[in-house]
Amino acid sequence: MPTTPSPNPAEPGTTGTEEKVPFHQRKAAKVDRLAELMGDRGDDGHGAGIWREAFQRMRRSPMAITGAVIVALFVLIALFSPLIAPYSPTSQAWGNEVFPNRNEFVGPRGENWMGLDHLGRDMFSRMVIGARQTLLVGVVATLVGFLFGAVLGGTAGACSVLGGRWGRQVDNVVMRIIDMMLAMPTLLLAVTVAALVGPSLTTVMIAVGIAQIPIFARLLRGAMISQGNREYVLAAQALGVRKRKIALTHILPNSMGPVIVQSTLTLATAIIDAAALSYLGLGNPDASFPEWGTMLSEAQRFLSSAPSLAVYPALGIIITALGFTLLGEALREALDPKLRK
Amino acid sequence: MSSSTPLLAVDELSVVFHRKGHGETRAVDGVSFSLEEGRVTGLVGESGCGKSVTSLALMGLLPERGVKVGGSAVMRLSDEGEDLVEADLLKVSQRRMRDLRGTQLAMIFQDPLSSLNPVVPIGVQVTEILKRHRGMRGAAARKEAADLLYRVGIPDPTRRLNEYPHQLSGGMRQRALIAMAVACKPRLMIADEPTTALDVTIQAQILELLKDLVTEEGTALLMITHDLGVVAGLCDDINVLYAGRAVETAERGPLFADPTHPYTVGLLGSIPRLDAPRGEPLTPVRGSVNDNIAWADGCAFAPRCDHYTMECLQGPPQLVRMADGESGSPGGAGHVHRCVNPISHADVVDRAVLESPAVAGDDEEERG
Amino acid sequence: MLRFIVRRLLQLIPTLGGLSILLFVWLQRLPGGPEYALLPDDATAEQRAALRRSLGLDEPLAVQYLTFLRRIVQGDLGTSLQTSRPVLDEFFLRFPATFELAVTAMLIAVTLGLPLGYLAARKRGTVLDFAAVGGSLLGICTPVFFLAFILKVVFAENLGLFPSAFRLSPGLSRTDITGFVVLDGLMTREWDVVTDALAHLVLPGLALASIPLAVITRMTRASVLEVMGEDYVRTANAKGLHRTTVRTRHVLRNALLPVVTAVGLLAGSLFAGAVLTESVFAFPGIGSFVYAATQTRDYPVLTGFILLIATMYVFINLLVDISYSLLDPRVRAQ
Repeated sequence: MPTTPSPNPAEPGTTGTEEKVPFHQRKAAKVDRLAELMGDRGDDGHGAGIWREAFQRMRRSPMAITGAVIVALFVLIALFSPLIAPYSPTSQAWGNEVFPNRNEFVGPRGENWMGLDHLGRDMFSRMVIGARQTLLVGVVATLVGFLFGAVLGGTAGACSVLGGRWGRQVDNVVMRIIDMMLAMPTLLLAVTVAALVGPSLTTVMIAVGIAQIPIFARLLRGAMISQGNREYVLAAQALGVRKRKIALTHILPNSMGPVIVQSTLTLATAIIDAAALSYLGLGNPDASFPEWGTMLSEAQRFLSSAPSLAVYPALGIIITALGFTLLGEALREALDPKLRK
Repeated sequence: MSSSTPLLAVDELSVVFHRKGHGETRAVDGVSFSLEEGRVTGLVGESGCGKSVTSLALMGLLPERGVKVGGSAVMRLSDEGEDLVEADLLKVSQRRMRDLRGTQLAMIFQDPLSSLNPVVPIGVQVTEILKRHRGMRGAAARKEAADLLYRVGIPDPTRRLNEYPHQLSGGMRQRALIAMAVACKPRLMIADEPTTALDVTIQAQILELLKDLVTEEGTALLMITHDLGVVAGLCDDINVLYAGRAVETAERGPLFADPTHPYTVGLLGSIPRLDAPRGEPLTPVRGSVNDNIAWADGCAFAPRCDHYTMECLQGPPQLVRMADGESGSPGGAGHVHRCVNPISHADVVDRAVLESPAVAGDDEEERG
Repeated sequence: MLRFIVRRLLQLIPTLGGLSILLFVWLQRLPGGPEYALLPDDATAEQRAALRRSLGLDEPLAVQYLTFLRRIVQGDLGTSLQTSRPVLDEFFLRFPATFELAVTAMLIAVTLGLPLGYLAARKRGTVLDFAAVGGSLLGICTPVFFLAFILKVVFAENLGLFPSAFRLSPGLSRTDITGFVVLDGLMTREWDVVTDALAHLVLPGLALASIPLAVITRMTRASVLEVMGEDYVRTANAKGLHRTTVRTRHVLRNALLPVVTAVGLLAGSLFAGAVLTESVFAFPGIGSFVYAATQTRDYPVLTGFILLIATMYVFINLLVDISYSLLDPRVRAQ
C-alpha cells in the first residue's frame, strides 16, 4: 500500500494552534484528511462488468496477448490479401522452372519469397490468398455450428427452465437428438456429410459446422439451465415478467460466456478439421485455388523432396489454430468465476 | 504444568501476500496473543480481518509461494522433566510440521462437507491419522476410530465407518472432523468458524462438544469466529481483530462489560437482542471491511468510525493497557485496546450478550 | 450395481433407436435415394428398379424402416462397393489391426499424459509446466495427418528407425490365431513377430496418440490444480499425513475422476482418427478401408462405419459410467 507523507503526529507546535481553529473547520479538515488517505488506496475495479473485468484480466495474460496478436495478424492478412499478394495465386508463371517428377523445385528467392509450388506458382501469394479462404472456412463453419447449435440449445434450455412439464418434454427430445449427434466423433460426422453431399469447399464448411452443432447446443443449454435456477430469474417470474422476455433479456445474455469461448476454440477446430477433410479429398476439387488445407494435402506427395511446400501451409494452420486456441483458453480463464479470486 | 510459559505464544505475527499486478497485501499485521491449556481464546472480527489467515499460518497451511510470514509462534511441546521442548511453528521444517500437525495441534474447518474427501469412506479418513501418528493398524485402528466417533457423539459408529461424507448429516460431518482432530489428543486445537455452516440447533451441540473437550482433556482451543454469541458462550479470552491487527484484547467479562474500542462497541451493537424494545433498529457498523486506510497512516477503522478525530489520522495508534481503575469489572488487568479516543464505559449501556444467533455479515473465505 | 447396469442398458435403446432413424432418413435423403448409395453410379435404370423392388422401397416408409432396422440388428450393413463383400465381414477382418493401433495410442497417451499433467500442476508456473501446456496446445492444433507424415518422413524414411508402412514386415511368417498380431506372437512365442509388429505400431501409434495425449495432459493438469485447492486436501494436510498419502489418496483419487471420462470419450474418437493415421502408414485396418471408402464414395461402408462408431461410443460411455460409479460413491448413491 502506498504511504503518504503524513504529518508527524507528535509535532509539538501543531496541537496548540489546532485547538484555536473553529469546530466546523476542524471537522472539515479531518474529513478531507480521511478522504485523502482513502483515495490513496487506488481503484480496485468496483462495479466493473464481468466482460470488462475479463478484459482487464486478459490484458495481463501473456497467453491472451500472444493469441490476440496471432489472430489479429491472421485476420489482417486475410482481409488485405489481394493488396499483399505480389502475384496471382493461380498463375503458373514459373511453370518451366519446376519439375516435380525430377525432384526439381525452386526455394525462396528475391522474386518469390517462399519459392514456387509444384506447378510453378508463387508460394507466398498462395499462402496470403489462402489465409483468406482459410478464415472464410473457419468463420462460416463456426457460424453454422453456432447458429444452429444456439437455436437448438437455446430452445431446449428455455423450455426446460420456463416451459413447465411440456417444456421439459421438448428439452428431452432435443437433447436426445443432440446426444445422438454427439455419439459421432466430430471429424467422422464431417466426413460423412461431405461424402454424402460431394466434395466442395462449401461442403467442408457445412460439414465442419454441422459437426459443431451438438457442442454449442449442449453448452448453451447447460448454461441457461444453471442461470435459470438463479434467484433473479425467480424474481422476474414472481414479478410477472413474460416468459419470452425473461428468456431473451435475462437468461440468454448471462449464458453467452461459455458459448463465446467455444466459438473462439471452434474457429481453431474448424480450420484443422477442414484441412483433414481436404486431405480426405472431400474439399475443393479445384486445387488451383489456394486454401491451406488443400495446399497441405496436395504437398504431402512431395514431402520428402520439397518439404517446405507442406511446411508453409502446415505452419499457417498450426499457428492460426494456436492463436484462436490461446485466445479462447485465455477468455475461458478470464470468465471462470472459480479462477477469478 | 509449567505455568510460567504459555502453551503457545504468538508474537508479532504478520502475513503478507504478494500477487502479480496487485502489489502486496498485509493480511495479518503484527498480531500477538498467547494460549493456555484448558482455556478458549477467541479471534473475533469480520470477514477479511485476518483471523483465518492467522490460523492457517499457525498450522503452516498457507501456500508456499507468494506469502511471507513474519514474527514467531513458540509452542511448548513437552512438559516432561525440567527441560522445556519448544518449537517456533513458523520456522520449523515442513517435515517436522507434518509430525506436529495432528499430534500437537489440530484444526477444525468451517465447511464440513467440503472439508471431507468425498470419495474416501469416513473410516479411512479417521484411521489414516491413527496409522500416521499412533502407528495403529487394521482392526485396532478401526476399533479406535469407532470409539472416537462414539466419543464425539456419532451414534452407531461402526456402521458410519463404511459410509461416505455425503451420507452423513451436516452436524455429523462436523463431529467426524472433530473426531479426526482429537484423534491424537493434540494440546492445541484451532477451530475456524466451526459452526457457521450448520443449523442453529446443531451449532449449540457442536459448541457444547468443543467445550467438553476443552474441560475434559485440558486442550487449548483457539476459536476463530465472527459470531459474538459464540464468543460470549465459549471464549475465556478474546482478541478483536480489525484489518490484520488486534484492536482490543480482554477477558470475556471486561470485554462485554466495558468495550473500549469503537469497533468492538459497533460489533456488540449490531447483535439483535430479544429484550430490545419492539421496532428498535439494529445499529450495524457502517461500511465494509474494505473501507479502511493503511495502519501506517492512522487508525484503519477511522473511515467507519463515528468518533474519529484528527488524532486518529496521524500515524498508527498504539496498543494501550487500561489502568486497573479504568476497567469497571474484575479481571480487567489484561484489557488492552488500540484506540486514540477510546469509548469510556459510562457511554455504553450494559450489553450482556446471551446465546444469540449469528448476526455479522456474510462469511466468505478471506484468503486472497 | 447390476440394476444400475441394466438401467443404463435400457437407456441405450432410445439413443441407438434414434440413431438408426437418423441414418435411415439420411439414406433416404441421398441424391436419388438409397439405391444410388447401394449401387455404383453407372448402374442402369433396370438395375435400379430391380433394387428398389428387392429392397422393398415401394412399401410404406414405416415398413421400410422396420426392414432396415431388422437388417441392422441381424448384422447386415450392406455390401461394400469396393470389395463386393458384406461390410460387417470387412470390418471384422480389419478390426484387430485397428484395435491394436488404438490400444497402443491410448497406452502412449495415458502413460505419458497422466504423469505429465500431474507434474505440470505440481510445478505450476515452471518451465516444465509451460512446456507441458504449450506442447499439448501444439498437439491439439497440429493436423493429425500432417504429424503422421512428418513422423513417417523423419523417423522411417530419413532415419530408418522404424518401418514406414503395414503391420508386419513382408516375408515374415506368422501363425494367425486371433487376428491380433502381437497377441498371436505372444501366444506362439514368435518373438520376432512380436518385436516386428510392435515396431510397426510405434509411429502410427504416436501420431494417433497426439490428440488424446494433449487432452489428457491438459485435463489432468487442470483437474489436479483444482483438487489441490479443495478444502479436503487442506484437511488432509492439517492432519499431518505424509505428503505421499495426501497426494495419492486425497489429490489423485479425486483428480482422476474427470480424466476417466475423458479417456472414455477419447477412445471413441481414436477410431475416427485412425482413418487419417492408417492411410498415411498404409496400416491395414478399418481406418484405411474407410479412407478408401471416402475416395470411392462407398456409402455402405461409410454408413456402416458411423453405426459401428456410434454403437462403440455408446458402449464406451456405459463403461465410463460404470467405472465412474465404482470410483465415485456420490454417483453410486443416485
